[in-house]
Amino acid sequence: MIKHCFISALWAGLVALDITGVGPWLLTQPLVAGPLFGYLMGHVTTGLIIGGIVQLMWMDVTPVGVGIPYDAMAVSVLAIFWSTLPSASPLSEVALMVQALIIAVPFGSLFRRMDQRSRRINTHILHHIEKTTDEHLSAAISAGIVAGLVWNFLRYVVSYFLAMWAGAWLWKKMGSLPIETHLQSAFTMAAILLPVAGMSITLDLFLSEEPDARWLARLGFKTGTLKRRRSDQ
Amino acid sequence: MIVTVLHVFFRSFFLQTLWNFERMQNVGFAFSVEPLLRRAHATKTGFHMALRRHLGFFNAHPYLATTVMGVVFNGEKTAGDQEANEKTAQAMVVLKDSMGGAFGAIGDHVLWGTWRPFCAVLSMSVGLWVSYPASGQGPMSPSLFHTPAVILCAKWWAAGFLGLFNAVHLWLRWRGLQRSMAIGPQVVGWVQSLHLQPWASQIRRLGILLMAAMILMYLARWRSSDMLLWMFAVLLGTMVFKRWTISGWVIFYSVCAASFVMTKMGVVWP
Repeated sequence: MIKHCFISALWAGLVALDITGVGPWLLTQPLVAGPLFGYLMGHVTTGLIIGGIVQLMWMDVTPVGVGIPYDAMAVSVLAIFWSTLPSASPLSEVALMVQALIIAVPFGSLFRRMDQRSRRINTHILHHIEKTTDEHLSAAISAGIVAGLVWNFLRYVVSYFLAMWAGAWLWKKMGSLPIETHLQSAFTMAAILLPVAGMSITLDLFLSEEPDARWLARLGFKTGTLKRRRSDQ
Repeated sequence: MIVTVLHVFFRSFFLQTLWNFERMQNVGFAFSVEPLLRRAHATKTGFHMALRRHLGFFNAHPYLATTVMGVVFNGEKTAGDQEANEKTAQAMVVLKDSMGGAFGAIGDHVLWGTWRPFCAVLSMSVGLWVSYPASGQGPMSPSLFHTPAVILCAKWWAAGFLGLFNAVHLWLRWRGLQRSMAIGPQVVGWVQSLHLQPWASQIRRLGILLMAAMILMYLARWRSSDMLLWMFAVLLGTMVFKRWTISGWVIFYSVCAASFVMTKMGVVWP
């Protein structure tokens, strides 16, 4: 299990570099990261369903200004990892995906907090760069960039490894618990309704950030601003 | 010169590597613009002074930052190495900061807030439409777990989104750098000539239509009126929640809780 967690964390860490390391190419968007990670785990279907739900549910999450957004990639990667683990649970494949999502959602906030902390360490690296002499400033900047890349990669790998490992333990325990009879139906229903909620969020995003929304106001729609989104993050 | 431009272009992908709360993208900016500063200054002292100068605060949208880099090169070249031009160089730092702020706001709204969700919705709907055609709802219709359909859909989602989004992203990075190096601060006129805001507005309207079609297609798959009623309730309820600025995770758990309560009440999906 530890080896599986470690290899999966390495992949996740590599993809997560897109957020702060190289890019952003938006490989971390759940609709890309989901199927990609699902393919790596050998379950493209799981990656597709979880990636699709998470993408729609958190479509409005963007790094506006200096805000650090909720980590939707962490949610999709962790949910895919856990739901593809062998389980003794009598729940169906779709129900297990919802169960994994329920466990993974708080990790989006946790990873966001960790990102905030990590950027404070970047400030320390900056101070070291600034202390160097003019002669060595160029080399110090390049070394700082390499240090930033290595640090970002390592912290993501360690965070993913710990989250995957702890979650796998919890997953195993949950698999052996007695399941209430209607839980299977409830999770299946959630799997059907979550995309609806996600589509509603996405539609609202297009409606509320419409900058030239006089035509919408005439139709009776109230429009919001990016400021509102910032407070949401 | 082209080698230097390519150098700056590739280095610009590391703009956010050392993003920090004190000076934001300053290290990434200095790292990216360094080859241009070497070209702009004939003496080592001039280069060192310029590099330290550009280690100051900087924050812009990562895709439009290259445009600011070109303006900096243009300004540094004009200022030259003489100490008398130090004032011009300082004025350029102020210009750099104000351009960064303005480009940050444009990029956040147009690229993050509009182009990204639009590309996502377009690639998702095309992927689903190609892999799970609405007309094929009979026994021959591919199920959600039909492997070839899943693979095809995954390809459309990932490749479609990355291709479409990054085509615009890379063009903006490259063209912005080239134009700003050539014309300096007048590049603001070039950015204005792109009409990004009106384009964003049109793309949003297209996004609304696309999303409405996607919702209707999804709802049409469920024939029972009970189901449709619950789905409409979730659709409207979520929209109300978003208007009250309730976070995504609260909506997520609310939908899960509602599903739990409904099944307890005896509502069962066929």
